[in-house]
Amino acid sequence: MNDKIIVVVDADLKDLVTVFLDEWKQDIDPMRKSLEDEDYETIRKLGHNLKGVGGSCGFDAITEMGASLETAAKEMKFDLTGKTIDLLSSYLDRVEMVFE
Amino acid sequence: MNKVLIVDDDLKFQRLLMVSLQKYSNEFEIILANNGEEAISVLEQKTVSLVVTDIQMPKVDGLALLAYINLMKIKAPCIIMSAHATPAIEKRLSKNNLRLLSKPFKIDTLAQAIIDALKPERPMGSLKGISIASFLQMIEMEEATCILEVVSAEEEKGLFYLENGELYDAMYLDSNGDTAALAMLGLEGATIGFGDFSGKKMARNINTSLMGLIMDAARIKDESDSALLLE
Repeated sequence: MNDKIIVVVDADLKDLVTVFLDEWKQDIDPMRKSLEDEDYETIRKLGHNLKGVGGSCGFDAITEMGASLETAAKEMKFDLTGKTIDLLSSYLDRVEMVFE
Repeated sequence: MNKVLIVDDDLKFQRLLMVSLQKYSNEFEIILANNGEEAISVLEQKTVSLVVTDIQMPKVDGLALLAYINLMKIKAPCIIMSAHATPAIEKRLSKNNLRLLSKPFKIDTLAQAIIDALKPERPMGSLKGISIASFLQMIEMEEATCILEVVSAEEEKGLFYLENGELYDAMYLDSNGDTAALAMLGLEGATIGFGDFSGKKMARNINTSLMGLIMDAARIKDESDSALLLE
């Protein structure tokens, strides 16, 4: 489960995507807090934004997880939303970028 | 230099655009707006060559922005970005002079769409005269609940009521339901706006699919045009 995930990113986007990755990691705890508070709308919006941006900078998996998060939050599914946040967190911990 | 107004409320996406589109800076200049309200403010002050807009945004959303562009007869083509687009919807809207980009997309795909749209003989037409059918299809795509107000060239008012993107009812002159919807879908030169919804609910009076109504309206128009030719 701890295998690294390599993502190829456009070298022009190196600085920006490095910042994005940090920001996505920083979003995890507030997302968990929102779930505790059953603030699904906040999580839905974060999922929607992940879906829109992830694939555009090379992170197709972020787009997929963002879409899952958006749907789970929209349907107010507590367990599924929590599991998707866990999945996203694990992915962000394991991902490494290669710039081309 | 062509000015391209890009409207999206996602600040990360805006940052990505700023960096990624820099390499196209000799072809077009970008102006970013966070929502429809800011975009309208830009359009009031500057002439832009192209508008690229998201649909779901706070304050004034993309549909209301398109209604404004249509009402003000701003002759800029428009590219719509949506996370809810499907190839079928893209194809249908392209027939109505609108280019739809399905999110997520590679930024180079957006750049190419912008370059294509800025060509003098662009493959898509301008937004001028956007059809009522196109608006309804976008509302359906975004599963929005709203009242779409229509004013004909003869100043006759009508409305469509949609709930979660489904067409529930229409009213025009003395008719309602399918009859009113078909009459309004056949209008040319109508202006479109969004009415005060205020959370009111209306009973469902239309059970025909939107696509079915659009096709019926097109058939009625074709028959009418043929009859005129025979006269």
